[in-house]
Amino acid sequence: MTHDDNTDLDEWLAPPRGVPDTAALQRRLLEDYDAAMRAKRAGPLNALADAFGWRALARPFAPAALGAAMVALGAVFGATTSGSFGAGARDDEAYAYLSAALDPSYGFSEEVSAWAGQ
Amino acid sequence: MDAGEESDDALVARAGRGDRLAASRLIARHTPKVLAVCARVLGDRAAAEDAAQETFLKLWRSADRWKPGAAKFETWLYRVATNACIDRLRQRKPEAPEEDAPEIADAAPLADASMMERERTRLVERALAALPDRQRMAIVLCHYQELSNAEAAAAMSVSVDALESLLARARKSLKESLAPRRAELIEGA
Repeated sequence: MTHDDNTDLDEWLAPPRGVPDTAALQRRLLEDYDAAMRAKRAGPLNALADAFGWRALARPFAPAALGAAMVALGAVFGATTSGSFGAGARDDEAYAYLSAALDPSYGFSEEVSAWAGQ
Repeated sequence: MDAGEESDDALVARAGRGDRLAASRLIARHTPKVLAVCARVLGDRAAAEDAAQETFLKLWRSADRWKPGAAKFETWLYRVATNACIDRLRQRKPEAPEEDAPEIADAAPLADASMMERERTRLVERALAALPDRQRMAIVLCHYQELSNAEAAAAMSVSVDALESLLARARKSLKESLAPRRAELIEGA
Protein backbone atom coordinates (compact mmCIF):
# COMPACT_ATOMS: atom_id res chain seq x y z
CA MET A 1 0.00 0.00 0.00
CA THR A 2 1.25 3.44 -0.87
CA HIS A 3 1.18 6.64 1.14
CA ASP A 4 -1.78 7.73 -0.98
CA ASP A 5 -3.70 4.61 -0.02
CA ASN A 6 -3.20 5.42 3.65
CA THR A 7 -4.29 9.02 3.13
CA ASP A 8 -7.40 7.81 1.33
CA LEU A 9 -8.26 5.39 4.10
CA ASP A 10 -7.90 8.09 6.75
CA GLU A 11 -10.18 10.31 4.73
CA TRP A 12 -12.77 7.58 4.19
CA LEU A 13 -12.76 6.81 7.91
CA ALA A 14 -13.22 10.44 8.94
CA PRO A 15 -16.03 10.96 11.48
CA PRO A 16 -19.38 11.56 9.77
CA ARG A 17 -20.56 15.14 9.49
CA GLY A 18 -24.15 14.36 10.38
CA VAL A 19 -25.28 14.25 13.99
CA PRO A 20 -27.78 11.47 14.71
CA ASP A 21 -31.06 12.44 16.31
CA THR A 22 -30.86 11.25 19.88
CA ALA A 23 -33.65 13.28 21.50
CA ALA A 24 -35.94 10.31 22.15
CA LEU A 25 -33.07 8.24 23.51
CA GLN A 26 -31.98 11.12 25.76
CA ARG A 27 -35.47 11.30 27.24
CA ARG A 28 -35.37 7.59 28.01
CA LEU A 29 -31.93 7.94 29.59
CA LEU A 30 -33.21 10.70 31.85
CA GLU A 31 -36.18 8.53 32.84
CA ASP A 32 -33.72 5.76 33.69
CA TYR A 33 -31.80 8.24 35.82
CA ASP A 34 -34.99 9.20 37.70
CA ALA A 35 -35.82 5.53 38.27
CA ALA A 36 -32.28 4.76 39.47
CA MET A 37 -32.37 7.67 41.93
CA ARG A 38 -35.82 6.66 43.20
CA ALA A 39 -34.53 3.12 43.77
CA LYS A 40 -31.50 4.44 45.65
CA ARG A 41 -33.64 6.65 47.87
CA ALA A 42 -36.02 3.77 48.59
CA GLY A 43 -33.29 1.63 50.13
CA PRO A 44 -30.62 -0.97 49.48
CA LEU A 45 -33.08 -3.76 48.65
CA ASN A 46 -34.46 -1.68 45.84
CA ALA A 47 -30.99 -0.99 44.50
CA LEU A 48 -30.33 -4.76 44.61
CA ALA A 49 -33.63 -5.45 42.89
CA ASP A 50 -32.80 -2.91 40.26
CA ALA A 51 -29.31 -4.28 39.70
CA PHE A 52 -30.44 -7.89 39.33
CA GLY A 53 -33.88 -7.36 37.89
CA TRP A 54 -35.58 -8.89 40.96
CA ARG A 55 -38.62 -6.69 40.83
CA ALA A 56 -40.33 -8.51 43.73
CA LEU A 57 -37.68 -7.15 46.09
CA ALA A 58 -38.64 -3.60 45.21
CA ARG A 59 -42.18 -3.90 46.60
CA PRO A 60 -43.12 -2.06 49.81
CA PHE A 61 -43.25 -5.10 52.13
CA ALA A 62 -40.30 -6.90 50.57
CA PRO A 63 -38.00 -6.65 53.63
CA ALA A 64 -40.72 -8.14 55.91
CA ALA A 65 -41.54 -10.81 53.33
CA LEU A 66 -37.87 -11.68 52.98
CA GLY A 67 -37.55 -12.03 56.77
CA ALA A 68 -40.67 -14.20 56.96
CA ALA A 69 -39.37 -16.38 54.15
CA MET A 70 -36.08 -16.90 56.00
CA VAL A 71 -37.95 -17.85 59.21
CA ALA A 72 -40.17 -20.27 57.27
CA LEU A 73 -37.15 -21.85 55.61
CA GLY A 74 -35.49 -22.23 59.02
CA ALA A 75 -38.63 -23.88 60.43
CA VAL A 76 -38.84 -26.32 57.54
CA PHE A 77 -35.15 -27.18 57.84
CA GLY A 78 -35.50 -27.65 61.60
CA ALA A 79 -38.51 -29.92 61.20
CA THR A 80 -36.79 -32.13 58.64
CA THR A 81 -33.70 -32.64 60.81
CA SER A 82 -35.35 -32.96 64.24
CA GLY A 83 -36.30 -36.65 64.10
CA SER A 84 -39.89 -36.44 63.04
CA PHE A 85 -39.06 -38.41 59.90
CA GLY A 86 -37.28 -41.37 61.56
CA ALA A 87 -33.83 -39.88 62.07
CA GLY A 88 -34.52 -39.69 65.85
CA ALA A 89 -34.92 -43.44 66.21
CA ARG A 90 -31.57 -44.06 64.57
CA ASP A 91 -29.97 -41.45 66.83
CA ASP A 92 -31.37 -43.22 69.93
CA GLU A 93 -29.94 -46.58 68.84
CA ALA A 94 -26.54 -45.09 68.18
CA TYR A 95 -26.59 -43.33 71.54
CA ALA A 96 -27.51 -46.58 73.39
CA TYR A 97 -24.77 -48.50 71.60
CA LEU A 98 -22.16 -45.89 72.42
CA SER A 99 -23.28 -45.70 76.06
CA ALA A 100 -22.98 -49.45 76.35
CA ALA A 101 -19.58 -49.45 74.66
CA LEU A 102 -18.30 -46.85 77.12
CA ASP A 103 -19.70 -48.68 80.11
CA PRO A 104 -16.77 -50.38 81.90
CA SER A 105 -19.02 -53.31 82.93
CA TYR A 106 -19.78 -54.10 79.29
CA GLY A 107 -18.28 -57.52 78.77
CA PHE A 108 -15.98 -58.69 76.02
CA SER A 109 -18.42 -61.36 74.77
CA GLU A 110 -21.21 -58.81 74.52
CA GLU A 111 -18.94 -56.59 72.55
CA VAL A 112 -18.08 -59.42 70.14
CA SER A 113 -21.78 -60.23 69.76
CA ALA A 114 -22.50 -56.62 69.03
CA TRP A 115 -19.83 -56.52 66.35
CA ALA A 116 -21.18 -59.77 64.92
CA GLY A 117 -24.52 -58.07 64.58
CA GLN A 118 -26.42 -60.25 67.09
CA MET B 1 -15.55 21.20 26.16
CA ASP B 2 -15.55 25.00 26.60
CA ALA B 3 -13.60 26.57 29.42
CA GLY B 4 -16.81 27.65 31.15
CA GLU B 5 -18.38 24.20 31.00
CA GLU B 6 -18.48 22.02 34.04
CA SER B 7 -16.15 19.00 33.95
CA ASP B 8 -17.47 15.47 33.56
CA ASP B 9 -16.14 14.58 37.01
CA ALA B 10 -18.07 17.40 38.65
CA LEU B 11 -21.25 16.51 36.76
CA VAL B 12 -20.97 12.83 37.69
CA ALA B 13 -20.50 13.73 41.36
CA ARG B 14 -23.57 15.98 41.27
CA ALA B 15 -25.62 13.42 39.37
CA GLY B 16 -24.65 10.82 41.97
CA ARG B 17 -26.12 13.08 44.65
CA GLY B 18 -29.42 13.24 42.78
CA ASP B 19 -28.90 16.40 40.72
CA ARG B 20 -31.12 15.83 37.70
CA LEU B 21 -29.74 18.81 35.80
CA ALA B 22 -26.21 17.40 36.03
CA ALA B 23 -27.46 14.04 34.76
CA SER B 24 -29.24 15.77 31.92
CA ARG B 25 -26.04 17.62 30.94
CA LEU B 26 -24.04 14.38 30.98
CA ILE B 27 -26.67 12.75 28.79
CA ALA B 28 -26.67 15.63 26.33
CA ARG B 29 -22.88 15.70 26.20
CA HIS B 30 -22.19 12.00 25.79
CA THR B 31 -25.21 10.30 24.24
CA PRO B 32 -24.32 11.09 20.61
CA LYS B 33 -20.78 9.74 21.06
CA VAL B 34 -21.82 6.61 22.95
CA LEU B 35 -24.60 5.91 20.48
CA ALA B 36 -22.23 6.41 17.55
CA VAL B 37 -19.75 3.89 18.98
CA CYS B 38 -22.48 1.35 19.66
CA ALA B 39 -24.12 1.87 16.26
CA ARG B 40 -20.87 1.38 14.38
CA VAL B 41 -19.85 -1.66 16.39
CA LEU B 42 -23.27 -3.32 16.36
CA GLY B 43 -24.45 -2.08 12.97
CA ASP B 44 -28.01 -1.76 14.21
CA ARG B 45 -29.65 1.36 15.64
CA ALA B 46 -32.06 -0.44 17.99
CA ALA B 47 -29.35 -2.65 19.48
CA ALA B 48 -27.10 0.40 19.74
CA GLU B 49 -29.75 2.31 21.71
CA ASP B 50 -30.13 -0.67 24.07
CA ALA B 51 -26.38 -0.79 24.62
CA ALA B 52 -26.26 2.98 25.20
CA GLN B 53 -29.12 2.71 27.67
CA GLU B 54 -27.31 -0.07 29.55
CA THR B 55 -24.15 2.05 29.60
CA PHE B 56 -25.91 5.01 31.20
CA LEU B 57 -27.76 2.77 33.67
CA LYS B 58 -24.39 1.51 34.89
CA LEU B 59 -23.27 5.11 35.17
CA TRP B 60 -26.26 6.11 37.33
CA ARG B 61 -25.76 3.09 39.59
CA SER B 62 -22.12 3.90 40.25
CA ALA B 63 -22.21 7.71 40.00
CA ASP B 64 -22.19 8.21 43.78
CA ARG B 65 -19.04 6.09 44.05
CA TRP B 66 -17.20 7.85 41.21
CA LYS B 67 -13.69 8.95 42.21
CA PRO B 68 -12.59 12.03 40.29
CA GLY B 69 -9.15 11.62 38.78
CA ALA B 70 -9.04 7.83 39.16
CA ALA B 71 -9.86 7.41 35.45
CA LYS B 72 -10.91 9.68 32.64
CA PHE B 73 -14.70 9.66 32.66
CA GLU B 74 -15.07 9.41 28.90
CA THR B 75 -12.68 6.46 28.71
CA TRP B 76 -14.63 4.70 31.46
CA LEU B 77 -17.88 5.38 29.62
CA TYR B 78 -16.50 3.99 26.35
CA ARG B 79 -15.28 0.92 28.20
CA VAL B 80 -18.73 0.25 29.60
CA ALA B 81 -20.27 0.87 26.16
CA THR B 82 -17.72 -1.42 24.51
CA ASN B 83 -18.51 -4.19 27.01
CA ALA B 84 -22.23 -3.75 26.42
CA CYS B 85 -21.58 -4.14 22.68
CA ILE B 86 -19.39 -7.22 23.21
CA ASP B 87 -22.18 -8.85 25.25
CA ARG B 88 -24.64 -8.22 22.43
CA LEU B 89 -22.23 -9.47 19.77
CA ARG B 90 -21.69 -12.68 21.75
CA GLN B 91 -25.44 -13.25 21.99
CA ARG B 92 -25.79 -12.62 18.29
CA LYS B 93 -23.25 -15.25 17.10
CA PRO B 94 -22.94 -16.77 14.57
CA GLU B 95 -22.26 -13.59 12.66
CA ALA B 96 -24.33 -12.64 9.66
CA PRO B 97 -22.50 -13.20 6.37
CA GLU B 98 -20.87 -10.15 4.83
CA GLU B 99 -23.50 -9.62 2.16
CA ASP B 100 -26.16 -9.44 4.87
CA ALA B 101 -24.22 -7.00 7.00
CA PRO B 102 -26.71 -4.40 8.16
CA GLU B 103 -26.28 -0.82 7.17
CA ILE B 104 -25.95 1.74 9.89
CA ALA B 105 -28.68 4.33 9.96
CA ASP B 106 -26.61 6.80 11.96
CA ALA B 107 -23.79 6.70 9.52
CA ALA B 108 -25.82 8.44 6.87
CA PRO B 109 -24.60 11.99 6.41
CA LEU B 110 -26.98 14.94 6.54
CA ALA B 111 -29.99 14.80 4.25
CA ASP B 112 -28.64 17.41 1.86
CA ALA B 113 -25.37 15.57 1.26
CA SER B 114 -24.70 14.26 -2.17
CA MET B 115 -25.63 10.78 -3.35
CA MET B 116 -21.95 10.13 -4.00
CA GLU B 117 -21.03 10.85 -0.43
CA ARG B 118 -23.84 8.64 0.77
CA GLU B 119 -22.60 5.84 -1.44
CA ARG B 120 -19.06 6.30 -0.13
CA THR B 121 -20.31 6.10 3.44
CA ARG B 122 -22.29 2.98 2.61
CA LEU B 123 -19.23 1.28 1.10
CA VAL B 124 -17.03 2.12 4.07
CA GLU B 125 -19.70 1.04 6.57
CA ARG B 126 -20.10 -2.25 4.75
CA ALA B 127 -16.36 -2.90 4.83
CA LEU B 128 -16.30 -1.94 8.49
CA ALA B 129 -19.18 -4.27 9.34
CA ALA B 130 -17.28 -7.17 7.78
CA LEU B 131 -14.29 -6.73 10.11
CA PRO B 132 -13.86 -8.98 13.16
CA ASP B 133 -15.53 -7.40 16.22
CA ARG B 134 -12.43 -6.24 18.07
CA GLN B 135 -10.80 -4.81 14.95
CA ARG B 136 -14.00 -2.91 14.20
CA MET B 137 -14.08 -1.59 17.76
CA ALA B 138 -10.49 -0.39 17.51
CA ILE B 139 -11.23 1.47 14.26
CA VAL B 140 -14.43 2.98 15.64
CA LEU B 141 -12.77 4.27 18.80
CA CYS B 142 -9.65 5.61 17.10
CA HIS B 143 -11.00 6.95 13.83
CA TYR B 144 -14.63 7.80 14.42
CA GLN B 145 -14.43 8.79 18.08
CA GLU B 146 -10.93 10.17 17.66
CA LEU B 147 -9.62 8.69 20.90
CA SER B 148 -5.88 8.42 21.34
CA ASN B 149 -4.41 4.93 21.14
CA ALA B 150 -3.93 4.92 24.91
CA GLU B 151 -7.54 5.95 25.53
CA ALA B 152 -8.91 3.41 23.05
CA ALA B 153 -6.73 0.69 24.59
CA ALA B 154 -8.07 1.57 28.04
CA ALA B 155 -11.63 1.56 26.72
CA MET B 156 -11.11 -1.91 25.23
CA SER B 157 -9.15 -3.20 28.26
CA VAL B 158 -6.14 -4.14 26.11
CA SER B 159 -2.55 -2.96 26.00
CA VAL B 160 -1.57 -0.18 23.60
CA ASP B 161 0.52 -2.71 21.66
CA ALA B 162 -2.47 -5.00 21.27
CA LEU B 163 -4.62 -2.09 20.14
CA GLU B 164 -2.03 -1.04 17.57
CA SER B 165 -1.91 -4.57 16.26
CA LEU B 166 -5.72 -4.64 15.97
CA LEU B 167 -5.66 -1.30 14.18
CA ALA B 168 -2.96 -2.41 11.75
CA ARG B 169 -4.86 -5.59 10.87
CA ALA B 170 -8.12 -3.68 10.55
CA ARG B 171 -6.61 -1.07 8.26
CA LYS B 172 -5.02 -3.76 6.11
CA SER B 173 -8.35 -5.58 5.77
CA LEU B 174 -10.20 -2.35 5.02
CA LYS B 175 -7.71 -1.34 2.36
CA GLU B 176 -7.97 -4.74 0.73
CA SER B 177 -11.76 -4.79 0.78
CA LEU B 178 -12.08 -1.18 -0.41
CA ALA B 179 -9.32 -1.31 -3.04
CA PRO B 180 -11.63 -2.51 -5.86
CA ARG B 181 -13.96 0.47 -5.16
CA ARG B 182 -11.19 3.03 -4.80
CA ALA B 183 -12.26 5.04 -7.83
CA GLU B 184 -15.82 5.38 -6.50
CA LEU B 185 -14.57 6.30 -3.07
CA ILE B 186 -12.24 9.00 -4.34
CA GLU B 187 -15.00 10.39 -6.52
CA GLY B 188 -17.36 10.51 -3.54
CA ALA B 189 -14.86 12.19 -1.26
